[in-house]
Amino acid sequence: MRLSVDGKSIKNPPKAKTVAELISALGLSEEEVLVKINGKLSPNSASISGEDEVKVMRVIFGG
Amino acid sequence: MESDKQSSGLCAKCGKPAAITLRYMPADLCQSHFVRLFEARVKRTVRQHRMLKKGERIAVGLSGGKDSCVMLHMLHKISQSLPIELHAITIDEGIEGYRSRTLEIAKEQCSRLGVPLTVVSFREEFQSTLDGLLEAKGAARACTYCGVMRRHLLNKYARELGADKIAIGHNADDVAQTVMMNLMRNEPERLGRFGLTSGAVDDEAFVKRIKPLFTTPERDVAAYAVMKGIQIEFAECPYAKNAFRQYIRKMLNEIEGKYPGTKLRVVRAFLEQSRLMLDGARYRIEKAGSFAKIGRCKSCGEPSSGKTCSLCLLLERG
Ligand SMILES: [Zn+2]
Ligand SMILES: [Zn+2]
Repeated sequence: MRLSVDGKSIKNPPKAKTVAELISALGLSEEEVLVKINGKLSPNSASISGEDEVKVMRVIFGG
Repeated sequence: MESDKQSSGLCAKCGKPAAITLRYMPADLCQSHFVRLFEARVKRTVRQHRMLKKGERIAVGLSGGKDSCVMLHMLHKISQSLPIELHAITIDEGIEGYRSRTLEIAKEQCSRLGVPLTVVSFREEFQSTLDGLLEAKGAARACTYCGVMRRHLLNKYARELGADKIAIGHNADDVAQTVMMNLMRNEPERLGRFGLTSGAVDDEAFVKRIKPLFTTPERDVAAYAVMKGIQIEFAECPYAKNAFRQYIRKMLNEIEGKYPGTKLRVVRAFLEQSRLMLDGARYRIEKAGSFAKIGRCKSCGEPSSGKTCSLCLLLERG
């Protein structure tokens, strides 16, 4: 998987088969992120495979 | 994993591939059913709390952040069936490297929707940017200064525009945080003033505030913005780090993770109790004697419960 968090690419992404696993492996909470797989917003159970481009957006912040 | 059980991957309404998991429902929804849910919820909240009336002029507090941009978008949508007049107000506090970006977004949003925009700056109004002021006062109370100053300007300019109401982009997370903060600080009169549709004090110089997004979780606001192609700024206000609010936000999100729906339950509890709290606030205000009536600040002439308003006290003027 090619992974980015808040627009920054992550060199060694953690192993994860689903969005939920990825969020928890990154130490984030499902409550604070949205995840796109290959440009599409995806639910927590969506599966991630080798070639996928995954974007994690932290969307809960101040201001 | 526990969360996998709550996420089938398919839309609960139509069975198509889902775009988002809403653990507080709990349900997965496709993009078009999420958008429908989102818009229906905002419209229902506006209707239930009689936030808007035909013919009203609504000042929209537009920071350029995702919440106020999505609120403007929704109010504009509502204005196509309910004739209301929108006028956005953006406060430029003067926060280097943060506000300039959101100011651009505010301008873009307004021109896209054809909504007039008034930009008011701390520099012009207070002869100092927030950065400049905090250099002298220290950043520890940044949010207090900024909040009081912004509220003052928003009220003043909304009144000058002849607005019937000011729309504020507070979402359900903001409200849940404020409720918890006020409980922990034992500040019921503040909570009364925070009222979602009306305050503890009525005064013609105070423009009534409405919060169309107060039943909408922050993450949903972001998801809607992403789906609708509304630009969102990911930068965080540089002063927000230190605040008590950040701690409460983190705590609430941790509880939400274990017990989905908690934030919305806090908002509902506040709603149900707010009448009692408002009565309590009125009682405390009366008991305090000198706070019984809203007068005018002797320094700036804006409405104030004391001789000098909280803004002038903060700025040590008058
Ligand atoms: Zn659907
Ligand atoms: Zn004053």
